[in-house]
Amino acid sequence: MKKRTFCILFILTYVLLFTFGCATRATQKPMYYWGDYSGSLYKIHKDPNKKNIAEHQVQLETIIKQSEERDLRVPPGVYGELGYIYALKNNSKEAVKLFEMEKQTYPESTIFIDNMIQQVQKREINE
Amino acid sequence: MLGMIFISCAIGCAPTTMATKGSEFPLMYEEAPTTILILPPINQSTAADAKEYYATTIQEVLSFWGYYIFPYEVTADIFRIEGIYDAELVTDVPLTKFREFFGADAVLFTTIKKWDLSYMVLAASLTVSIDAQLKSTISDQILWNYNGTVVVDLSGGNTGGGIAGLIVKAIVTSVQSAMVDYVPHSQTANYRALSSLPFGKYHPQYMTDQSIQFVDQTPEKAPE
Repeated sequence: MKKRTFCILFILTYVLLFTFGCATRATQKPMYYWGDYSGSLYKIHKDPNKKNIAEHQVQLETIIKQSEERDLRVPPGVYGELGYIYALKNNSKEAVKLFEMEKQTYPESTIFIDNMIQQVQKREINE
Repeated sequence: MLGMIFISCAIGCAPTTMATKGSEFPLMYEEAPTTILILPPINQSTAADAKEYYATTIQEVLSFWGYYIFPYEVTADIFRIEGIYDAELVTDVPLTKFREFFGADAVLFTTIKKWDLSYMVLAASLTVSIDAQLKSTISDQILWNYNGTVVVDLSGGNTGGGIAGLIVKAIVTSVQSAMVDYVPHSQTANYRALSSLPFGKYHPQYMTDQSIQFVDQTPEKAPE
């Protein structure tokens, strides 16, 4: 009888430990959501065709959307990279908006971002 | 019992030196850089793709250490416009320039020494050897460095033992060798190479990871 009680207790402890272990794991949030960033970027490097370039832009937009939904900080550089894509497409307004977002999320990017915004605005005046 | 003692001794007496992040890289904690600029790598390996695999996976991987990482795609483009294609051409640029234009506290230099894929009947692996240095733009000193080799098993995890397991493994290996996508494996290699890097301000363990141990791969004189 005693042996049985011990056995049940033993199993119970294990089950409890397992459940607890899983629960703490589930509540641990990842730092960032990157989606398939590296994969779609590699495709561009291998074959910079229109489809791959468009797909990578969608990937960046998805990362921003998903990060917001999951209440995560958008990974460093993502707003900046998307802003740069808009700058290359001569969409200065959208580019500056995204650059500002990068600066707001990561104040330590200020020197770099201000330089980028300056370049975009300089080009606008020249045109 | 004798076997147990032998095994534990073999592990205990193995000639690996353990070091801590705090003892090996004290300058990381003194200077506490918050922003890292990744420079295009120098590729000394025979694999033409190695540079691309490194360049497209390093940003994501390094971000998890908690630093602000400048968008590699953007900064690499700026270097291209300036006529800088890889880190070899920037070694002459004073590091303070990166501080002035980007606000970078530290700059990551990487040389890919080896990027080899090897396929055997029952196993496949990716061997990556890199030299990496994180240099301060304030003091010009090396804050962190890594010289080592990472071997990533491409055989697709554990498929169970026995002959049947081996056959499954062989099939998995041949299927995987047909794939061209080594992005996840390059990510794994990068994760391992960075493991001794102290965490930055966005990481929960920022400034509290000094005692974390890692296997010291820097050649040193044998302890007496």
